[in-house]
Amino acid sequence: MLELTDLCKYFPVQGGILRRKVGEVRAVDGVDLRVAKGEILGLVGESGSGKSTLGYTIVGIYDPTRGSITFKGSDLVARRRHDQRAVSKEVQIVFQDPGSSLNPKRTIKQTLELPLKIHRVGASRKERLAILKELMRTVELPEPYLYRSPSALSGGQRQRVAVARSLASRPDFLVLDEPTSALDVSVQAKLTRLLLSLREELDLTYVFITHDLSLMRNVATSVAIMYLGKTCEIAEAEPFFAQPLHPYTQMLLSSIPVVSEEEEKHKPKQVIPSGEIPSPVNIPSGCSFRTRCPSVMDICSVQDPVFREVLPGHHVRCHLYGLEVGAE
Amino acid sequence: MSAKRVFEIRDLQVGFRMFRGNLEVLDRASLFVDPGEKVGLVGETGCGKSITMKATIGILPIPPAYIAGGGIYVDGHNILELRGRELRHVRGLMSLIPQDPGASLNPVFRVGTQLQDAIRYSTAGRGLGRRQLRRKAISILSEVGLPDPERNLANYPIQLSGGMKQRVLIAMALVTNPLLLIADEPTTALDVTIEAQILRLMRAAVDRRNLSILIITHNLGVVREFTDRVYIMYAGQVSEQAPTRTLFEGPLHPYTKGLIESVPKLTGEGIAAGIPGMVPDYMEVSPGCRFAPRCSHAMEVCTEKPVMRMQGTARGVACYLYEAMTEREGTCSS
Repeated sequence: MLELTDLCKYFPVQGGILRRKVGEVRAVDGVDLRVAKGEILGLVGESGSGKSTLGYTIVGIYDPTRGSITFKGSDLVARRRHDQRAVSKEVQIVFQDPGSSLNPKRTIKQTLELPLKIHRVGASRKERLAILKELMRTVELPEPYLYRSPSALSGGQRQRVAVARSLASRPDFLVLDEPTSALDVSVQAKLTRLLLSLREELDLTYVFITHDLSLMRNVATSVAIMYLGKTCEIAEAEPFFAQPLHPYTQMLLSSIPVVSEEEEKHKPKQVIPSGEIPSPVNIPSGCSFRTRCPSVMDICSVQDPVFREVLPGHHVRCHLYGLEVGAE
Repeated sequence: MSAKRVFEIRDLQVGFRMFRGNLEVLDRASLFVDPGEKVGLVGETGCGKSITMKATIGILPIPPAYIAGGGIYVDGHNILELRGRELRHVRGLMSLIPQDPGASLNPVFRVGTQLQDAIRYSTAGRGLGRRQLRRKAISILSEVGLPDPERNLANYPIQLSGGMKQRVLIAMALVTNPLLLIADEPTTALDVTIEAQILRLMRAAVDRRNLSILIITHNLGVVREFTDRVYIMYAGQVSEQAPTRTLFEGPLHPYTKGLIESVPKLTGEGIAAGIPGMVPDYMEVSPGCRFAPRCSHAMEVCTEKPVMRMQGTARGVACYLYEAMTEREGTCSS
């Protein structure tokens, strides 16, 4: 359904009084990714990994610096230039913080009605109101909430409104940018269940951006790990969690504080995390993870490992898997 | 009564006077920390855990807040009754590790200046000269694992990453030689790999100095890995307390059970149903168990406040389902 090929998004770093470009931040750097229909791809990384930038580039908030986005067989970037509206009808996003993504001065009804008007869903006011009521039912909110302002709703309810807004144009593809990370766990569970049932009901495909691997264990059909703008491991969820290959993935998984003894057994052997993510302005040479990697080798600083299929469907970017140097 | 306890909150009642009426937030909350203990206070947004912390270190905005009753005892002294020099002395026995490392350091002063100020104005820094202050600052920074401490003293906070700022703040908390550390969501703003490092650092520092620590958080995983004993708070009431291991192996209170179930697990058993309903508005809380409106076991008697029923000194639950707990031994396994 969605295919990214060598997708890059660089931001210029300006300096001096002439605001000349003195460098660039490689927020997304050569990402190849495939999302099949009905999938939930968990896009996981720490802050600064470029996961949100990648999501924003997919929905068209940013134009890619290089590379292509193919959506349902056609070039999304070119289509967007031609007819932005048609594309945004099909590809929508839910933002992280419902506190700031909803306009506090508008009632929920006004917020939800805007996408209907823009995408010309519903001919008359009456018809639109019927659709709005249906939308509220879909996200399990009481109808009278249509006339409230966001400040009168709780965090979880606001996020439901944000989900309803992105569903208003009846898209079939959603980018979810940390939709539950601003919520308490008991509320997070309820919203996540809603998102899962919506996918079934409305035949949706998700790219689920998050930093929470435990959540992805229960939600994703496949997982992509990002580090400093690059994907370091992509696989279907089952093999991914059964046998995480990249040292960074292992470090992430073993760092998660869990709530039961049973879960400890599902962690890879203890990898003691060290160091912090380097600045994306100044990415290490070779493999960008080498400064924190417990299994670093000489070659890692010289050569960036190739992203290769190590096991069927299991892609890893690491010199540990494929020591045939230069056999690119 | 509590001579040996480093810290104890007894029946603390805190409310807020608002235009529309009084919000009674903390409803006779009690907890204690023994010497050398690592204790967790867990709850969701708005449960009163931060208010407990603010009342303790004396930064509760009074008014609109008011303390209606109870006591906060630090090393046996009730700080609510102390004033002036005595209050300052007792407060000096506590240090806070704040939540948001980005907002907790002053952006216009160098790290070294802020750290040396913290030393200078504490009992630990009395009579130290400039060189000694600097030496003490460097040694504490290397203890918390900040790379290149001498250079970092001259840096501004903006030049440090989030994890490094948190290390500086931990250094500031430790350097005054407190009896008790209060850590308010110390790792919430950090990535998991950094969180793991900071928790390890905090554990090492606390154990080495035999400090007591109260860690306030919403993250059950952090509590399980870090603490010896836990308090669960819901809507201003302490609903359950237990040694950490006991709590996670057999939670008693329906709220605790719902909370632990809600956490997504690495075992991949799917997403739990969560807890039905919503956190109550403090304007309209029931005088009884505040969890009752969301509780699937709610009974008539729940309109009266359940007392904390203890089994031993550490295990307790405030719920009518466990009426018989103190009478009969071993009714613990629900």
